[in-house]
Amino acid sequence: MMDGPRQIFTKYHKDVLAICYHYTWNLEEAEDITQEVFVKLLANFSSFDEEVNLKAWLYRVAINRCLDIKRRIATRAKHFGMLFQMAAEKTGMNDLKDVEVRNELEKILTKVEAKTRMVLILKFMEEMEYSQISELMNIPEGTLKARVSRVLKGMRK
Amino acid sequence: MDKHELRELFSSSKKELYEDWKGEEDLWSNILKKEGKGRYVWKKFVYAGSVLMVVLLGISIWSWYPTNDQIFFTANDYVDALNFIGPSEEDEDGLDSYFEHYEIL
Repeated sequence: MMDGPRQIFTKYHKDVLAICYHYTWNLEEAEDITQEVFVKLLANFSSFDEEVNLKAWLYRVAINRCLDIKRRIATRAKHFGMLFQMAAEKTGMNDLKDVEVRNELEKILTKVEAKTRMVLILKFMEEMEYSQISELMNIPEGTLKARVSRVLKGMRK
Repeated sequence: MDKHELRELFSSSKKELYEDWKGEEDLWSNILKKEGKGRYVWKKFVYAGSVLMVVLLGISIWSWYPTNDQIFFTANDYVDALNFIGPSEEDEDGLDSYFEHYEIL
Protein backbone atom coordinates (compact mmCIF):
# COMPACT_ATOMS: atom_id res chain seq x y z
CA MET A 1 0.00 0.00 0.00
CA MET A 2 1.21 3.47 -0.86
CA ASP A 3 2.45 5.70 1.99
CA GLY A 4 0.42 8.72 3.03
CA PRO A 5 1.63 12.26 2.25
CA ARG A 6 3.20 12.70 5.68
CA GLN A 7 5.22 9.50 5.39
CA ILE A 8 6.35 10.45 1.90
CA PHE A 9 7.37 13.86 3.18
CA THR A 10 9.33 12.33 6.06
CA LYS A 11 11.04 9.90 3.71
CA TYR A 12 12.08 12.30 0.96
CA HIS A 13 12.00 15.93 2.10
CA LYS A 14 15.65 16.01 3.14
CA ASP A 15 16.81 14.66 -0.22
CA VAL A 16 14.71 17.22 -2.06
CA LEU A 17 15.94 19.98 0.25
CA ALA A 18 19.58 18.95 -0.28
CA ILE A 19 19.22 19.01 -4.07
CA CYS A 20 17.58 22.43 -3.99
CA TYR A 21 20.07 23.77 -1.49
CA HIS A 22 23.13 22.68 -3.42
CA TYR A 23 21.61 24.09 -6.57
CA THR A 24 20.53 27.47 -5.18
CA TRP A 25 23.05 27.83 -2.34
CA ASN A 26 20.35 29.51 -0.36
CA LEU A 27 18.58 27.65 2.41
CA GLU A 28 15.51 29.85 2.38
CA GLU A 29 15.07 29.43 -1.34
CA ALA A 30 15.68 25.69 -1.04
CA GLU A 31 12.98 25.47 1.64
CA ASP A 32 10.57 27.40 -0.58
CA ILE A 33 11.15 25.07 -3.51
CA THR A 34 10.85 21.99 -1.28
CA GLN A 35 7.60 23.42 0.04
CA GLU A 36 6.29 23.93 -3.51
CA VAL A 37 7.26 20.39 -4.45
CA PHE A 38 5.29 18.87 -1.57
CA VAL A 39 2.31 21.20 -2.04
CA LYS A 40 2.21 19.91 -5.61
CA LEU A 41 2.44 16.36 -4.27
CA LEU A 42 -0.56 16.92 -1.99
CA ALA A 43 -2.54 18.50 -4.81
CA ASN A 44 -1.86 15.55 -7.11
CA PHE A 45 -1.88 12.82 -4.49
CA SER A 46 -5.29 11.40 -5.32
CA SER A 47 -4.30 10.91 -8.96
CA PHE A 48 -1.25 8.74 -8.17
CA ASP A 49 -1.52 5.00 -8.47
CA GLU A 50 0.45 2.37 -6.60
CA GLU A 51 2.94 1.97 -9.43
CA VAL A 52 4.13 5.56 -9.47
CA ASN A 53 7.78 6.15 -8.63
CA LEU A 54 7.27 8.90 -6.07
CA LYS A 55 10.94 9.61 -5.54
CA ALA A 56 11.48 10.16 -9.26
CA TRP A 57 8.32 12.30 -9.43
CA LEU A 58 9.47 14.48 -6.53
CA TYR A 59 12.98 14.82 -7.96
CA ARG A 60 11.61 15.75 -11.39
CA VAL A 61 9.38 18.47 -9.93
CA ALA A 62 12.26 19.79 -7.80
CA ILE A 63 14.70 19.75 -10.73
CA ASN A 64 12.28 21.56 -13.03
CA ARG A 65 11.55 24.17 -10.40
CA CYS A 66 15.25 24.70 -9.76
CA LEU A 67 16.00 25.02 -13.47
CA ASP A 68 13.14 27.50 -13.82
CA ILE A 69 14.88 29.87 -11.49
CA LYS A 70 18.32 29.49 -13.05
CA ARG A 71 18.33 33.06 -14.35
CA ARG A 72 17.89 34.43 -10.88
CA ILE A 73 20.56 32.07 -9.61
CA ALA A 74 23.01 33.23 -12.28
CA THR A 75 22.60 36.79 -11.09
CA ARG A 76 23.00 35.68 -7.54
CA ALA A 77 26.19 33.77 -8.33
CA LYS A 78 27.88 37.10 -9.00
CA HIS A 79 27.13 38.22 -5.47
CA PHE A 80 27.54 34.80 -4.01
CA GLY A 81 30.10 35.65 -1.34
CA MET A 82 27.85 38.17 0.34
CA LEU A 83 24.71 36.07 0.08
CA PHE A 84 26.45 32.97 1.32
CA GLN A 85 27.61 34.88 4.36
CA MET A 86 24.05 36.08 5.01
CA ALA A 87 22.61 32.59 4.60
CA ALA A 88 25.27 31.19 6.90
CA GLU A 89 24.50 33.77 9.56
CA LYS A 90 20.76 33.19 9.26
CA THR A 91 21.03 29.43 9.58
CA GLY A 92 23.77 29.40 12.14
CA MET A 93 26.17 27.60 9.80
CA ASN A 94 29.16 29.58 10.87
CA ASP A 95 31.40 26.70 11.67
CA LEU A 96 34.69 27.20 9.82
CA LYS A 97 34.75 23.65 8.48
CA ASP A 98 31.20 24.03 7.11
CA VAL A 99 32.14 27.21 5.38
CA GLU A 100 35.25 25.63 3.88
CA VAL A 101 33.35 22.67 2.48
CA ARG A 102 30.67 24.94 1.11
CA ASN A 103 33.18 27.36 -0.35
CA GLU A 104 34.93 24.52 -2.09
CA LEU A 105 31.69 23.21 -3.56
CA GLU A 106 30.52 26.71 -4.37
CA LYS A 107 33.68 27.32 -6.38
CA ILE A 108 32.96 24.25 -8.47
CA LEU A 109 29.21 24.55 -8.81
CA THR A 110 28.81 28.23 -9.51
CA LYS A 111 31.33 28.02 -12.33
CA VAL A 112 29.30 25.52 -14.31
CA GLU A 113 26.14 26.04 -16.32
CA ALA A 114 22.80 25.47 -14.51
CA LYS A 115 21.90 22.10 -16.02
CA THR A 116 25.42 20.77 -15.53
CA ARG A 117 25.27 21.89 -11.91
CA MET A 118 22.12 19.84 -11.45
CA VAL A 119 23.77 16.84 -13.15
CA LEU A 120 26.74 17.07 -10.76
CA ILE A 121 24.40 17.22 -7.76
CA LEU A 122 22.41 14.20 -8.91
CA LYS A 123 25.48 12.24 -9.91
CA PHE A 124 27.84 12.93 -7.02
CA MET A 125 25.52 13.83 -4.17
CA GLU A 126 22.53 11.62 -4.90
CA GLU A 127 24.78 9.01 -6.53
CA MET A 128 22.35 8.38 -9.34
CA GLU A 129 23.13 6.47 -12.52
CA TYR A 130 23.47 8.39 -15.76
CA SER A 131 20.41 6.53 -17.09
CA GLN A 132 18.30 7.78 -14.17
CA ILE A 133 19.54 11.35 -14.54
CA SER A 134 18.92 11.16 -18.27
CA GLU A 135 15.32 10.11 -17.64
CA LEU A 136 14.77 12.78 -14.99
CA MET A 137 16.28 15.65 -16.92
CA ASN A 138 15.41 14.51 -20.40
CA ILE A 139 19.01 14.80 -21.58
CA PRO A 140 20.75 12.00 -23.53
CA GLU A 141 23.19 9.92 -21.48
CA GLY A 142 26.08 10.74 -23.81
CA THR A 143 25.57 14.45 -23.31
CA LEU A 144 25.50 13.99 -19.53
CA LYS A 145 28.73 12.01 -19.53
CA ALA A 146 30.43 14.55 -21.74
CA ARG A 147 29.33 17.42 -19.48
CA VAL A 148 30.55 15.68 -16.33
CA SER A 149 33.87 14.67 -17.81
CA ARG A 150 34.43 18.24 -19.04
CA VAL A 151 33.88 19.54 -15.50
CA LEU A 152 36.13 16.89 -13.96
CA LYS A 153 38.83 17.65 -16.50
CA GLY A 154 38.54 21.34 -15.65
CA MET A 155 38.86 20.57 -11.94
CA ARG A 156 42.05 18.59 -12.45
CA LYS A 157 43.78 21.50 -14.18
CA MET B 1 40.20 17.17 -7.50
CA ASP B 2 38.72 13.93 -8.82
CA LYS B 3 35.22 12.50 -8.69
CA HIS B 4 35.81 10.68 -5.40
CA GLU B 5 36.79 13.90 -3.71
CA LEU B 6 33.80 15.64 -5.24
CA ARG B 7 31.57 12.87 -3.91
CA GLU B 8 33.09 13.27 -0.44
CA LEU B 9 32.63 17.01 -0.58
CA PHE B 10 28.97 16.59 -1.42
CA SER B 11 28.54 13.95 1.22
CA SER B 12 29.97 16.11 4.00
CA SER B 13 28.05 19.16 2.79
CA LYS B 14 24.82 17.16 2.78
CA LYS B 15 25.58 15.74 6.23
CA GLU B 16 26.22 19.19 7.61
CA LEU B 17 23.05 20.51 6.06
CA TYR B 18 21.03 17.74 7.70
CA GLU B 19 22.69 18.32 11.05
CA ASP B 20 22.11 22.06 10.98
CA TRP B 21 18.63 22.04 9.59
CA LYS B 22 15.83 21.60 12.09
CA GLY B 23 12.92 22.91 10.08
CA GLU B 24 11.01 19.70 9.34
CA GLU B 25 7.91 20.50 11.39
CA ASP B 26 7.75 24.12 10.21
CA LEU B 27 8.11 23.06 6.61
CA TRP B 28 5.37 20.45 6.92
CA SER B 29 2.95 22.86 8.60
CA ASN B 30 3.70 25.48 5.91
CA ILE B 31 2.95 22.89 3.24
CA LEU B 32 -0.37 21.99 4.85
CA LYS B 33 -1.24 25.65 5.27
CA LYS B 34 -0.37 26.48 1.67
CA GLU B 35 -2.17 23.44 0.33
CA GLY B 36 -5.22 24.19 2.46
CA LYS B 37 -5.21 27.77 1.28
CA GLY B 38 -4.97 26.65 -2.34
CA ARG B 39 -7.83 24.26 -1.87
CA TYR B 40 -9.92 26.95 -0.16
CA VAL B 41 -9.34 29.43 -2.99
CA TRP B 42 -10.20 26.74 -5.52
CA LYS B 43 -13.37 25.88 -3.59
CA LYS B 44 -14.32 29.53 -3.40
CA PHE B 45 -14.03 29.88 -7.15
CA VAL B 46 -16.13 26.77 -7.72
CA TYR B 47 -18.77 28.02 -5.30
CA ALA B 48 -18.88 31.50 -6.87
CA GLY B 49 -19.02 29.93 -10.35
CA SER B 50 -21.92 27.65 -9.41
CA VAL B 51 -23.91 30.52 -7.90
CA LEU B 52 -23.30 32.61 -11.02
CA MET B 53 -24.39 29.74 -13.26
CA VAL B 54 -27.61 29.24 -11.28
CA VAL B 55 -28.39 32.98 -11.41
CA LEU B 56 -27.73 33.14 -15.16
CA LEU B 57 -29.83 30.03 -15.73
CA GLY B 58 -32.66 31.56 -13.68
CA ILE B 59 -32.52 34.80 -15.65
CA SER B 60 -32.52 33.00 -18.98
CA ILE B 61 -35.43 30.76 -17.99
CA TRP B 62 -37.35 33.74 -16.68
CA SER B 63 -36.83 35.74 -19.85
CA TRP B 64 -37.60 32.90 -22.27
CA TYR B 65 -40.38 31.18 -20.41
CA PRO B 66 -43.73 31.69 -22.20
CA THR B 67 -46.42 33.65 -20.39
CA ASN B 68 -49.65 32.04 -19.18
CA ASP B 69 -51.50 33.33 -22.25
CA GLN B 70 -49.07 31.49 -24.47
CA ILE B 71 -49.27 28.27 -22.57
CA PHE B 72 -52.85 27.87 -21.50
CA PHE B 73 -56.05 27.80 -23.43
CA THR B 74 -57.78 30.60 -21.53
CA ALA B 75 -61.47 30.86 -20.69
CA ASN B 76 -61.88 33.52 -23.37
CA ASP B 77 -60.49 31.19 -26.00
CA TYR B 78 -62.91 28.53 -24.83
CA VAL B 79 -65.89 30.87 -25.10
CA ASP B 80 -64.59 31.99 -28.45
CA ALA B 81 -64.47 28.43 -29.64
CA LEU B 82 -67.99 27.75 -28.40
CA ASN B 83 -69.30 30.86 -30.10
CA PHE B 84 -67.74 29.91 -33.37
CA ILE B 85 -70.41 28.61 -35.63
CA GLY B 86 -69.27 26.31 -38.29
CA PRO B 87 -69.91 26.96 -42.00
CA SER B 88 -73.45 26.75 -43.24
CA GLU B 89 -74.38 24.69 -46.22
CA GLU B 90 -74.36 27.76 -48.46
CA ASP B 91 -71.04 28.85 -47.09
CA GLU B 92 -69.09 25.93 -48.46
CA ASP B 93 -65.66 27.08 -47.68
CA GLY B 94 -66.68 28.51 -44.29
CA LEU B 95 -65.15 31.88 -45.00
CA ASP B 96 -68.38 33.85 -44.68
CA SER B 97 -69.18 32.57 -41.22
CA TYR B 98 -65.58 33.01 -40.22
CA PHE B 99 -65.57 36.65 -41.30
CA GLU B 100 -68.96 37.15 -39.71
CA HIS B 101 -67.86 35.70 -36.45
CA TYR B 102 -64.81 37.86 -36.34
CA GLU B 103 -66.78 40.87 -37.54
CA ILE B 104 -64.47 41.38 -40.44
CA LEU B 105 -67.20 41.86 -42.96
